[in-house]
Amino acid sequence: MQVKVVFFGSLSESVPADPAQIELAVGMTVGGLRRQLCEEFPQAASALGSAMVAIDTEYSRDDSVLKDGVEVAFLPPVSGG
Amino acid sequence: MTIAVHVIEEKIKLEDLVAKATTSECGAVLSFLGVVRDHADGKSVESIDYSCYREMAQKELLKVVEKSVAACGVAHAFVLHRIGRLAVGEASLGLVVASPHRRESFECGLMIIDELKKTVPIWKKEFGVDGSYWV
Repeated sequence: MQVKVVFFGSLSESVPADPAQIELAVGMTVGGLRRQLCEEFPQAASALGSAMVAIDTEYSRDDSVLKDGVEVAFLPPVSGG
Repeated sequence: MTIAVHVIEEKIKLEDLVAKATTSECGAVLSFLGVVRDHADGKSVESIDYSCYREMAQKELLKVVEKSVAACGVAHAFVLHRIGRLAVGEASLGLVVASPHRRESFECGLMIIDELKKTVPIWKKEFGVDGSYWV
């Protein structure tokens, strides 16, 4: 299956591939994708590790299972206002 | 009850929102602007670039305002958040809240701002003489 991964805030600069279509095994979780991205982009591992993750614009948890075609967003701590 | 939230790129103007919030049952109409200041954490700031995850920011901002309105019991709440590069003195956040009595409006205004800083996917990058940095 494929998911679209997007990065925001500081991650939009430290991860070179944005947005990225990524091929994943069926049953992959948010946490699994996070670990995979940390290995692929070690320079951004710290920010990826602490980022919140949203699936199709809803906050999710590391044990959430990804589905084909979803948009997965990695969100560093927010600072609006 | 009226609620409206918008993530915008244009300058924030509160006059129309204040007029909308001024209804006969409300004795309090609170307006607030969050403005770019010239320093942060001991560093000088010349401008801030606000970016967002637009579809989600709009949704999360609405959730925050709906929750705050319900908790505080105000009649109207309007919130604008501006995105893009803003110079010192320009407003990034505009808020208008109205209620029959003042306490509810002040409480609701504070709650909205405190909560949006926790969950609404908006980020700022500050630019100053020392360089630029994500906040």
